Order: sequence, then C-alpha cells, then structure tokens
Amino acid sequence: MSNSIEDLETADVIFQIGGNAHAAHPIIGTFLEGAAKKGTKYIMADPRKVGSAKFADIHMQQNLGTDIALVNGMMNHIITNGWQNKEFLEKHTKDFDALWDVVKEYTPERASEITGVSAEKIKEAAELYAKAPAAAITWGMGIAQRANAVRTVWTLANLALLCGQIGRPGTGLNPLRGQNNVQGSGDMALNPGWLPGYQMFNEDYVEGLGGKRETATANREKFEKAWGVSLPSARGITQMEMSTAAGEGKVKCMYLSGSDPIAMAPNLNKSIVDYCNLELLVVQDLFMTESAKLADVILPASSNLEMWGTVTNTERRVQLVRPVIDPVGDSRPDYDITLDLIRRFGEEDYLTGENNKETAMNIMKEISLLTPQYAGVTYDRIERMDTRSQGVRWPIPKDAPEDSIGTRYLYSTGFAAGKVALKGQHHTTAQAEPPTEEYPVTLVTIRDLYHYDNGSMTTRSNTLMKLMPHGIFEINEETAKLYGLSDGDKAKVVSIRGEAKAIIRITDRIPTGQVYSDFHHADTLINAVTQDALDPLAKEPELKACAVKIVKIDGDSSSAKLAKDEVKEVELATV
Amino acid sequence: MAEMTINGKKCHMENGQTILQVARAAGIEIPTLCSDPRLKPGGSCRMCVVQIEGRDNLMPSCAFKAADGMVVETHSTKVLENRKSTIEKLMDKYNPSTASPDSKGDSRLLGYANEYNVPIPQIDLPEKLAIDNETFKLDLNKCIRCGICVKVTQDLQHCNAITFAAPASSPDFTFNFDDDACVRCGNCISACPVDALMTKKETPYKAEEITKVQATCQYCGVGCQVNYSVNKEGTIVQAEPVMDALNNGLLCVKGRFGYNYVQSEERLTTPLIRTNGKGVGIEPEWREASWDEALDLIKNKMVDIKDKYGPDAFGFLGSGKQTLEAQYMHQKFARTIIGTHNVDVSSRL
Repeated sequence: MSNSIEDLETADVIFQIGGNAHAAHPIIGTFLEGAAKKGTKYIMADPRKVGSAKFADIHMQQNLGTDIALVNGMMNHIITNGWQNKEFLEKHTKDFDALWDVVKEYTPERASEITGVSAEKIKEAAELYAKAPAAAITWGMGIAQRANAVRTVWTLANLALLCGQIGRPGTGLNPLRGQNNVQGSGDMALNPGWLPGYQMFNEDYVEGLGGKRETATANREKFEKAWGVSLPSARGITQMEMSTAAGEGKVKCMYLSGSDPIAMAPNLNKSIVDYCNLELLVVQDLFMTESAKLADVILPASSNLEMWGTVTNTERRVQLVRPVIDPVGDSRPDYDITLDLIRRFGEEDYLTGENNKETAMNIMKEISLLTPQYAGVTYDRIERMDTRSQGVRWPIPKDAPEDSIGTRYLYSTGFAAGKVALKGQHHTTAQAEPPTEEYPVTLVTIRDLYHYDNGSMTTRSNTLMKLMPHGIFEINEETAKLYGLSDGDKAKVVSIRGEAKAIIRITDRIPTGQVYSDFHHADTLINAVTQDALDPLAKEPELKACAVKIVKIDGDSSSAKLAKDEVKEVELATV
Repeated sequence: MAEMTINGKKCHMENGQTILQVARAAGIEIPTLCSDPRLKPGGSCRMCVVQIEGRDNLMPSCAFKAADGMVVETHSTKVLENRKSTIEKLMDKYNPSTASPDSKGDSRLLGYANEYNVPIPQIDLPEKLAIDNETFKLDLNKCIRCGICVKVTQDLQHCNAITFAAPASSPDFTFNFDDDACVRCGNCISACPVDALMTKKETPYKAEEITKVQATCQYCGVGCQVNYSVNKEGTIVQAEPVMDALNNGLLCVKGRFGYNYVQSEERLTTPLIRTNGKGVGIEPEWREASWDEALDLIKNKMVDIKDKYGPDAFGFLGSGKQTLEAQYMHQKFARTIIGTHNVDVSSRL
C-alpha cells in the first residue's frame, strides 16, 4: 500500500475494485464499513455483491475482465469535464496527451457497453473520486490474478495520478495483501528480478524501465561484496515458468519453502506432471500438502508461533511474531534449516546465535544493512512500539528518532523517478479463455471468510470446519435452472484441463453464467480446472476466469445432498 | 492549556474529553463495566461515578465531559460507598460461578466485588442461554444488560447480530440474535466485561493457569495483534485480540479460531525421505530420517545437479506466510550457495 490502514478510514472517498476486504481482510473490511457509515463515500466495482456491498454508495457490477474499460470511462468523464488535477499533472507526470489519446475513445457510454455498468454510475463514480479532497483506491486479487494484471494496475495508477490522489493522507494506491508477509516477500526479494529492497540488478532491464545501467551494476556489486560471492546478472524465472521448465527438463531441482504450488497454482494436472519430472524436490512445510506428496525429501518446519521473527503487513508495518509454544516435534524454524544447509555446503555461518531470538535478530541486522527501506528496523524499536502503532512502517532510516514509527504514506514529496509517465491502456479481450458452446460458464476462484489459501491451516480448525466443511460452487437461480441444479446438489465443474467437485449454493449475489468457487478445500482442488494463461509482464496466472461447464453429480441423494442447516451461510470473497 | 484536578493531581485535558479519558491518560484507574473506549459512553452501570466539586450528585465519569479547572475525586468515601452498593445490586442478579467449562474466568464484576469487599455468594445457577450456536453462548444469568455486545455488533463489526429484545429493566429481558448476520468473529465476546458471552471451548482451561503471549496473526495482510493463551500443558487454548493495537481489539473468525493447526496431530514432526518412485497417481511412501541424513542427502544431490546442469537448473519458491528472516535466508541461499536468481514466492496465487 502506498498509504496506511488509517488512510482507508479517513479518506473522503474509497474506490474498491476487485477486492472483498469483508471476507479476505475482515478487519480492514470492518474499518471500511465503519467509514462508510460515518460519511465516507464508498464506491465499489465488483461483479459480485460482496460482503460490504450493502455499505456501498455506488456498486458497479462490471462484466468480468472489463476493469480497464471501466476506469478509462471514469477518466474520460473526468477529463471531459476538466476535473483532473492540473497542478499535480504538471508537477509530477508526463504523457498526459498520450493518455488522452487512449482514454478519449472510452466515453461513459462506450465504457457502459463494454462493462455492462450504466453510464450514469460511471459518471457519478468518476465525479466523486475526482472531486474528493482525499480519495483512496484499494484492490485485491480480482485485479492481480488476471492475464492483464499489470495493465489494469497501471490504469488504476493513471486514475490516481490524473486526480492527484496520491502522496497525501487518505489517498493512494492500496493493494491489500493476502498473507501476513506477502509484502515482506517482495521486500526480501523472493523474486527473480531484484535483490532485497527492490534493488534491480540487470542492466538491460533497468535501462528498459528508464533507469541508469550503472544503478544495476552498483546494486549487484553491493550484494556481491556483502555476501562475498559473484552474482549472475541475468534475471531468473518465475514460479509458473519454473514449473514448465521442470516439465521440459530444464529445471531439475526445486525447493518449496512454505509453498504448495500443486494445490495453489492453476492447471493442477499439468503441475503434477511437471513436478514429477524433477530429480530433486525438497518440500519444507508444516503438513503433508499436495506438493509434499511429490517430494523426494520433506523437512518439517516450525510455525510462526514457535519462533521469533518479523512479518510486514499490507501497510508496510514490520511486526513481531513470538514463540508462543516450543517447536512441535523435531520441527525447526525455516531460517535455522537454511543456515544448517549453508554450513553443510562448507560456508561460514555468521548468523546463528546463542538462541532463537539472537539468530532472528542477527538476520534482521543483515537485512537492515542491505535493504534501505529497513535501515532503521530493529527488534528493539518494534518492541518499544507496543501500543496502537505496534511495529514500524518502512521506509525508516537508520538514524530515525527513537519514537519514530516510520512512514505512514509514500510519495509525499513526489516520485523517485521524477515525473512519471501516464501509460494509457486499451481494453482488449475481456478473458484469456472466453466461454464456448461446450464450456459456456465462466469460473471465478475466490477466497471465503472461513478458510485460507490451500486450507492446510484452516481446515484443521474444528470451528472453521463446522462453519464451512467443504468447497462450494456459487451460482445464481437462472444458472441453476439452465443446468437443472438445486441448492445443496453435488456437482462438478469441468474445463478442458480437468474437473473439480463441490456443493452447489444458489445466491442472488452473482450474475448469470458465472460460477464462483473457493480454492481452500483439498476435496475440491479447483485448480485442476483453472487455466495457466499468464500476464506477459508479471507472469501472474489468470486464476480469476476460465471457461467451464457445470455437471450435476447424481447418485444417492442422502450423501449427495447436504442438509441446508449443515452449512452455515458463508461469505465468499472475490479477491 | 486546559487542566483539571483529579485526586489532587493536576491533569492535562483537551476539550471534548470525558473525565474518564482524562483520568486514564493520567494513569488514574476508575472502575468501569459498561464503558468501552472504542464505543459511545454507556453511562448505565454507574461503576465509574466520581465526585465533582460543586455538585451534590455523583456523576458517571465515562459520560461526563471534563472542564478546565474542574476538581474531581474518584475514590472519596462517598464514591466508594456508592460504588459498593452498585456492585451489591449487580451481584444480586449475577451468577458468580465460574464452574461452567466455557467460563473465561475474567469477569470484571467479580474482580470489583473482591476489591470492594462485597461478599460473593457460593451459588451456581443453571445457564439461561440467549445465544447458543456451534461457537458461542450467552448466559443471561451472568448478563448485566450493559449493552456493550450490542454496540460492538452495531458500531465496530457492523453486523447488527445482537439486539435487545426487551428493555433492560424488563423481567423477561433477552436478546435477539441474527444467526445469518453473525460472522463468528467473537468480537462481542472479547468486549463482554462480565463473562456472560463465551466461546464454547475446544480445550478446557482455567483462567489462572494460562499464560498469554502477543504475536502477529498468522493469516491475512492486516497484521492483527493477537494474545495467544497457552495452558499449563503447553497447548494453545485461546486467541484474543490485543485491545491497544492496529486491529482495535477486533479479530476475524480465522484469527480467533484458526490456531488449532499449530498443534494438529497431522503436523510433520520429523524429516521424511521418499522410498518409492514418483508419477501421476502413485501414492508416496516414506521413511523417517534424522536431520543430518536428510540435509546431507539434499546437499549431496544439489551439488550433483549443480555440477551437471548448472545453477539455473534450480528453482526456489518461498511463501508470504514465512517470516522476513526465513524469506531473506531462502533467497540468499539460492543466490549465494546455488548462484541462481530463480527465486519466487507462492503469494501470486
């Protein structure tokens, strides 16, 4: 997030698109709902009536995959009326004319034809956002898990820049992070394209972004010196590319640490074949996950409640995890396992301390030395900030005052790169895999309130399993009629890649011709159905839409049908 | 600068603050039941009454605004006597027993009764449940009708799941509970001051036998602060929100009930080495191994693969659920020991 959680509570206007905080970030969801009740204008753009929809002042239910057209329509209306922030545009941006060249084609009427949202609603949302003293944009996986994810995020950035709604309290571009340390995984360079702190190391790539080649060289040399190794200059490959490369025999060894790509990645049947082709698969996890079943060696990791460590939340706040209990069985903290392996490779281990906390602190010391955003992050500082401002928000400089809690919002004085380009984006095909005669329904995968990720954590909670014991396919009444389905029926969803089973729930919250499925339940494994089309830039798969058919599973009605009261009406989330 | 005097101590105050807020900021404790700093003042229980110079009647400090120059006594004889009689009246209708297996044992009313020497009768009334579902229950025999739970559902959780079904003074008093609206967050339970709202415990524990440790929630990116309670056997038995943290004393259903996995029987507890071949549809077979054996095997195989195919024949995939320290070490291992930038994270999914 460019801003912080309190900025979502204090904004005059919230524009939430492709995200359902109510179910996926429930506490932020309650804050947004509270803000709306106190007078914040709450604009929602989501194909589904998600949990907070009843609090929204405007709800635009756009057709799947039409986010770019929707936001272009808003920008068209803003520019036509001269509501853009001319002073901000002049000072901080370039290529306004190029943006207009694209956006001028998207009158609210044309945007309405593409998105299915009325031109009036698009105009109303545009005016509210542009004229607000402070307006914040927030989104979730509905924007990110698309084959046009990067172009959609650019479009949202265009909107914020056009109206100068960034760099101030209550504004900004605020993606909500789905796990407690997703933010950290980017910060720590679990990414093939940069070193910790987003320090790019490939000269051509940096030049392509408009930066200087020397910066890349200097970044690489900084880490080479600190780590005492020589680093390759070529960028690596992403998760989906690794899996394909394994299938092709180019990647021979994979090490999965806390990740379960078999259950979580799209096109599961292809993933299984790919991963089986590896000479060595190491899986380090808490449980025998779908991926672990394909491992050559499994290493038992400790959970975050068994060790010292830090995680960075969605607003860049670095927070502590503490050992609530001792490590379970012979499990060990991930970082201890890595350090042990490093020693076995004959390398010096200068990070392992006298005890668990000292080891964690030693690693954080190295992180803060090499990662500018974390320069002032220390365990002492985090532990001192134990009130409402628990933790510290990066960037925080090394010499920050003792009581500093870091940075609430970014870009208060402009952008590091100087003037940023407004990169206008056209709406293209709505879906990488449009519905066909044989597969006429679009499947959307979502998160629900009661479960999380591959379910390895939440399906082991008795309470959560009572609340939602199995996967669910949500469809509306009309779709149900078309395929002869009733509430509680057992059904399968089938694509050209595979099939998955769950229980039908009929709801009025979604449009006809769409089916929504969570991906948390091992007895559904919806990713056998999803597709692996990738965003060309971020290599993010299009998990949010693929063409399917729904088939009722007949059989003994007592086992196929669940009593309605057995399943608590749950909130499923488009994230 | 506006200032008032509480118990002879000069206290800084700001316009609009209540006496209770000024006192708490100055470190002066005033007992409260129906007041929650996150909610509009209750003003109904009268536990927090104070004596204000120039006024005959005692005033509830949670609702009464502070004023420049105001002089207040929070523990004068008159106040103490009044408070004691308030406790006695509340105790008359209160089941003091903590024998229920679901009792949290944290009733502030019982605490105040002890503090103010109000005798606690040794009785144990049967539960009279106004809410009773698979997760929660509300015992009317412990309820003092303060309305905090109603306000939490209205003003903090926005679910409106609990409402008064009758006036607080009515002999047939009870609550309406909207089961469909309830998202099972339990935030009303955390706010209940008298142990009337309870979670149905999965593992029984006694309040005096648990220790609490604060940590960051294991789930989404909000980063809620949680107090995990551990019983004397070392089992995590409860997760409660930290009141004074970014989550404002709130948790969601996953944060509150999603901790069992940590001590699940299904946890992997020892390294495992595969003993059969891999392929679609083949059930894996394993044998247990020591850490030495497993890590040496990994190291030796990695060395072979690197020698044979080079560093880019490796792929490393970390997680957004790990600590920064784990993530940093994972990528450092890939980049320094193996020499590849083939590092990514599963959080794309």
